[in-house]
Amino acid sequence: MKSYQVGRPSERLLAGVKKTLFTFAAMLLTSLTFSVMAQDVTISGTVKGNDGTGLPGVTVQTKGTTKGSQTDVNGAYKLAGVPKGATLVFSFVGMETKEVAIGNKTTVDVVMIDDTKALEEVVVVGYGTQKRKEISGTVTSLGSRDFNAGVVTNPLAAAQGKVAGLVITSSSGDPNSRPTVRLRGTGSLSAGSEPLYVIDGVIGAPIENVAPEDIQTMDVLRDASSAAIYGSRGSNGVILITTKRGKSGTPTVDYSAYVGQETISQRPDLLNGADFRAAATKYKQAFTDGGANTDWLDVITRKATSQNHNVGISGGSENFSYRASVGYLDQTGTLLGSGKDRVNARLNLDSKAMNGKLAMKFNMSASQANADIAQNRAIGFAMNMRPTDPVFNSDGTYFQIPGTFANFNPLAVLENYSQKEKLQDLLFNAQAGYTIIEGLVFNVSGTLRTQNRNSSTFVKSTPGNLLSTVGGNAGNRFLNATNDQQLETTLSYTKAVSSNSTLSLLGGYTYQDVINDGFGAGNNNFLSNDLGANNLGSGLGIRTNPNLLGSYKNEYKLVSFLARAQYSMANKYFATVNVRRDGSTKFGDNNKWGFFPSVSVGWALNEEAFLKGNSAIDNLKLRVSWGRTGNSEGISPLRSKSFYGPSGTYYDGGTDDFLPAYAIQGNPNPNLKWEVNENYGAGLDFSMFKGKLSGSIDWYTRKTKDLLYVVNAPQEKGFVFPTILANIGSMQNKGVELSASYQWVDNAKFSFSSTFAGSFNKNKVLSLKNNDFAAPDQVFLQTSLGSFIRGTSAVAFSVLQAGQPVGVFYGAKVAKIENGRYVFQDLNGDGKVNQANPDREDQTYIGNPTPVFVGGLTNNIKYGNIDFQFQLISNLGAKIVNTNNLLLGRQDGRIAESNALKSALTTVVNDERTLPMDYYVESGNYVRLNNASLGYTIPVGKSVVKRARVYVAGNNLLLFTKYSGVDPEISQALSIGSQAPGIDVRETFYKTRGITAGVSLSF
Amino acid sequence: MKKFIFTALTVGALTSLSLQSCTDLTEPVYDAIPADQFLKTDAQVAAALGPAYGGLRGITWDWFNPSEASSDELIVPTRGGDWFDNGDWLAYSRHTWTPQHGPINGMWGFIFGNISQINQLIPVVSTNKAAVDELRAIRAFYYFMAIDAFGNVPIVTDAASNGGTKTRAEVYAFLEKELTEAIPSLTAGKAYSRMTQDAANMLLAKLYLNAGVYKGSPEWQKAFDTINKVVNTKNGFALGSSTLSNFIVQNQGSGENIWTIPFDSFKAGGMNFQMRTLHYANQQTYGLGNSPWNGFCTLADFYNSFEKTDLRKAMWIEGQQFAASGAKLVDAKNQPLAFIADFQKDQMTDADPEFQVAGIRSQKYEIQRNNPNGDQSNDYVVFRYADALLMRAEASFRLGKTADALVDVNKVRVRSGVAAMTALTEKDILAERGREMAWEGWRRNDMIRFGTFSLERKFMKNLNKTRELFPIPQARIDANPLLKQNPGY
Repeated sequence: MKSYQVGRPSERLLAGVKKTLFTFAAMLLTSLTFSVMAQDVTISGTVKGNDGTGLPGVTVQTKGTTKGSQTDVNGAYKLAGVPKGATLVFSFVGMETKEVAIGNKTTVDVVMIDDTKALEEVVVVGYGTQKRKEISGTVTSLGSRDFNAGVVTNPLAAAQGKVAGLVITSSSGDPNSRPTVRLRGTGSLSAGSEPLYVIDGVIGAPIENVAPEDIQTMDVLRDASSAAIYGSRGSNGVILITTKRGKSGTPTVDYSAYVGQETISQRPDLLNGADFRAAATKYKQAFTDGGANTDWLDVITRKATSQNHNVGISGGSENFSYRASVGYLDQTGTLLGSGKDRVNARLNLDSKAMNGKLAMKFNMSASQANADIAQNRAIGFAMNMRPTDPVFNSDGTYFQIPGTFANFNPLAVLENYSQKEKLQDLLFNAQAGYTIIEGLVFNVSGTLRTQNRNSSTFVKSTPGNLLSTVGGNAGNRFLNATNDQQLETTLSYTKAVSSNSTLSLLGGYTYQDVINDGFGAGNNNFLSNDLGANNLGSGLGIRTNPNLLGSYKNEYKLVSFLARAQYSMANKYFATVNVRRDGSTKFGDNNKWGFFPSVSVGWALNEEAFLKGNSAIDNLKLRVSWGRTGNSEGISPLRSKSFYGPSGTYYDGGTDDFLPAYAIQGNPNPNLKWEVNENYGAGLDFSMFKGKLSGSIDWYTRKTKDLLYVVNAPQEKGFVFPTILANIGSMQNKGVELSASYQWVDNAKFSFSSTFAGSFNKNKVLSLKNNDFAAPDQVFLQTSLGSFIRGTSAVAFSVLQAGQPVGVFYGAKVAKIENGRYVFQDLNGDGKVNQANPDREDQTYIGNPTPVFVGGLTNNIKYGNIDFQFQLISNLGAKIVNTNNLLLGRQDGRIAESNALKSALTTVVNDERTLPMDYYVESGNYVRLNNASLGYTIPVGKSVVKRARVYVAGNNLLLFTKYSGVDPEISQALSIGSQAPGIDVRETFYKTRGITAGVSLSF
Repeated sequence: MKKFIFTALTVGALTSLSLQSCTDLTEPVYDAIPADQFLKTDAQVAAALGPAYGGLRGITWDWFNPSEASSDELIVPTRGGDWFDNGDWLAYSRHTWTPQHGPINGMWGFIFGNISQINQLIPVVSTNKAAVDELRAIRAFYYFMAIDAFGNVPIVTDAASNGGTKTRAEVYAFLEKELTEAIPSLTAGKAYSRMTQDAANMLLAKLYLNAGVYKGSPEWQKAFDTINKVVNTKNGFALGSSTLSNFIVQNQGSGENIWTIPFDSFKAGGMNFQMRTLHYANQQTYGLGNSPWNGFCTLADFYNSFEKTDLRKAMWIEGQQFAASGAKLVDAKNQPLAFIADFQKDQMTDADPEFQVAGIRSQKYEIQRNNPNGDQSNDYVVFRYADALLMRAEASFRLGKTADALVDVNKVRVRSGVAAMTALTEKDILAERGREMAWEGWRRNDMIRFGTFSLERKFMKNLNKTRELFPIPQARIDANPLLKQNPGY
């Protein structure tokens, strides 16, 4: 207890934490035993690294015992009770273990050197790891130090522009939005094109709530030969996240924090009050001048601040290590009322027992994220509102344009409409690996994950029912609980066949059971707004409307068998074969089981006689792969059979009331199955000039067959519902990916390196039919252009068509503007054009929304204690439909009823038609200075602080583009019926520019 | 070594064995009822039969819009950026729709989706002849809409039907047989909103009345005999106090309505004509919870076909509009909000001064004041006694009994305060049907039968008679190659 009194508060706290952890561990690790040795001599000394500084945290042990100690901050140690003539073992992660026979010495000083073998990169490949040099698939690894700087609140934003082929699009500045993520192009129409996320071996954990600070590595399985081990869910690639774990050594405390400020980086250029009056005069539009000069966008937005803190404590001994972390993020959004806060906690424990034969891991994480979701439609309203109108009437009430359709005062919308969502995620994962004999390991892993989503919406009543709410005010609650249980067992066997050849085998069984269970309720017409959605029963609405209640529950199970064989021959030839068999309750009766094989081979050319000894080439490896994966995420439960459920109401004469009717819920499809993705690829890894230049080039063809798509079901042939989810058609992505790093300068004082990651991808829909069903030859994809723009509900700018890229823009071509009106070209040459509304024959493909090239260039400069990093990202070849220009950029815009873009003052267009046409298709090429950071590492000497760095960072600092709209980084999401890629719509939460100042300290 | 491998294999095998139970892939079900476990109780059967009637509520959009917007009594002009909707509304009034027209595809889905639904229900109640025949009669109503709108359509009655196109004459024969067979088992008395003998006879009479259009040879006598059964039914339908009295919010008490589809503001939505027709600012006139959409209006020629004294003119909303408080309403340009009958363009820009006020609006269905919801509670009137009288008049006239026809027509006229006619022409009958039945979903059907549908009128210059049938939607042909496109498309 003495140490408690003399220790500094932080040490006391630490000791307490440590003690708790150890107690916890002791409860878990009942098999841990320590033997007590007879004591003879006390040995002391110092352990230094090859740079001559003392190494703290080195484990010093008497060989053959568990008796040991650790070096202090200066590298000094003292170990009592060492038998005479014993051998001391010095071990430290990343260093070569050193054994020293003590002889008669009582002082033993050692110098430890870096363990090059241990540093040999190990890549997480799913159900195991593999040495980087033996990998024959296409896997990219990112370390935490590679992450983007600045206000980066989720791991995806941290990885933007870092991995060739991984395209991360953040089109929104909403703190609650998620970027769209595509690996090797869009692989699916409706089953989802997002990669599978696996966090510490747990499939499907929510990636957006993992604090980037907790991540050790991100391994991206880019090709199907690597992802096939994930079978029916690997089709869009797999991102494996490994969180930081404790290491043996003295406890380390890491603290990092930043404060940041975000502002809107670009916004539409709207008319101000004077411009509006000028435009109204110029275009002879009468309007009621409210006499104001209101910048409505300014009214509803703000500078947003954020702060982020993360504390991690880690440490351990030879047989037990821990890392615990707690993070807190508080981020406001630039749109009034938007924001997010999040608390994350994570505890990772590692333990070895039974002489190292049993290795156990416990991963626990908890997060709670509170989202304040603002109404994006307020942005649309702010663009509609006339700058000449005031925000408030003279009596203090919200100004509202009389006699207008659903065009609300945007400030009133934001201040009277609240939507909150609380997401709680708890995950417990325990893993045990038992080495049965040398090389033969049995692993079992169990996971329980529960996620609760609790959302609450309330609309206040406003004078004159400004927001047109049924009942004046209305509240809604929604609860969803997800219960996800996973069990995995694997048996792996590794054997050295000869001195430089190794065979590894893996077999496994996995089981996952996911239950979704939720209910929602709403009510309206409350006597007071003060109740919010917290006392739903008190409203009057449910007395007349019984449809305000609902609940649901569903479950699916996925059962899999998997196997892998890896062979590494003579350190030159590498081969991997994966197979997985997946069975899912969601699949149709005729397709219960899917089989997903893959094979890849690698050839280290540099090990061949003709290159060996070549001074320029360090490493040159050729890889060739083939794999088949599946995509089953788009299949919701109960799609393959007929089920009855409530379906509207019917009038019952007996009760003179409307009773719930029951009907079959959808057209069943007993043949329903996963999408199949077949991938051929070849690549070359290279490292030259002693590591100065390294990188890889990959070529791939990725073909998705049995595309899941909702097609028209012929109702005249007995289908009740007009559509059915079926496996139709195929789609192809082909591309080349290039990554390269070059170390320009590298010496003790100054280093400068650049890393490029880029990819070229070409997407093409091959077919949209199967033997039973067919989509129309041209499927028109509609995009919602936002609230309060009537007459645009059925406008489709994009199509799906065999032979064309997904969502290619389709429309008429404008020959010229005559008297302000569009004059369309006669494209089929028949001499006729329906100028009012050009027919299909006079329309054509007018642009591909998908970028041809996406890349990032990251530069790291270090001079003494100063580090500077900046990243440029670029999209080339994508086209954008600028609907802002189309709707608000014409001469009268919507003057006098609503505001318009400044360009309305000068444009020649005076045509109100919202037709798809090339006139508004623009190039989306851009280069962005995505982030930069400047840091200073404070020399800490021998203080308790081991490392200290302060930095300033910025996001989205500069944008180079010719795009005339707000920002060319347009959502690439495809959501059939409401959203198509590359359409720039009004109600986009503008991207932000962030400046942060941060500190990271290690104790 | 061998021992260890053996141990490993044993462990592995045991593990797999213990997990055998975990390879059961039967889909767990919680919030829906597997099809083979429902329909076990009378209440369940009743709930399952519900959609056969509940599905009819789609009529206010999927049948009403194409039947009215293509006629001479309703138009949805483009109002600046509003209501262009890819040109779909203009295509209706200009008769320029194509097989790609989205709403026409919607109508097909409404008709055949409900037919499929009923086809699935018929086997469920196969032991109850009355129930089967009631379902057949409702199905016949959907087939009536199919023969009227699309003409040549598949006849699907059960899972064995192949979905291939049948000629309009074959569909006619099928419909006549279905109704004739079903009618005897239907309720002979009154049963609100149910397919009774009276409702089915009304439907059969509509079929006979249009026989000339549907199969090329008229059946006036059969039409007369059938409609006569309805007019003389013992259930005593009679003209109400006024035409509009049958369309009030609580119109279930009407003694004139023969068959209605019940709606409720909250429990059974879809009755929203007020939203489609009223100006945004009329929200303040009626104290509505939602701001209306300012779309549907009538055409000047049709509006002018009403005599000054015609009480039925009360269905029109015209001139200056006022808030409930009495204040004059203005439009977005701060101009007086006054609806005008005559306008020169069906595609107006924001610069056209009348773009928001063009066209007289309708309150045929009484507008539910202070309704917080977008849907109203008026029940949709499919068949009513005045229609029956006018149908009998038309059949009499065609059979040469003009005096009898005049009696029926004048009953309808006199109720509305217009003078009885002394002579009758074909044109008079159509015009009277127009005034009496305006905005009730029958105008296209009437105009085609009287041969005026493809005649030139304001905003309609496409005189192609093939437009008397809508095209089979291309999306349907793509999905079912057995379908044959109608001539002219």
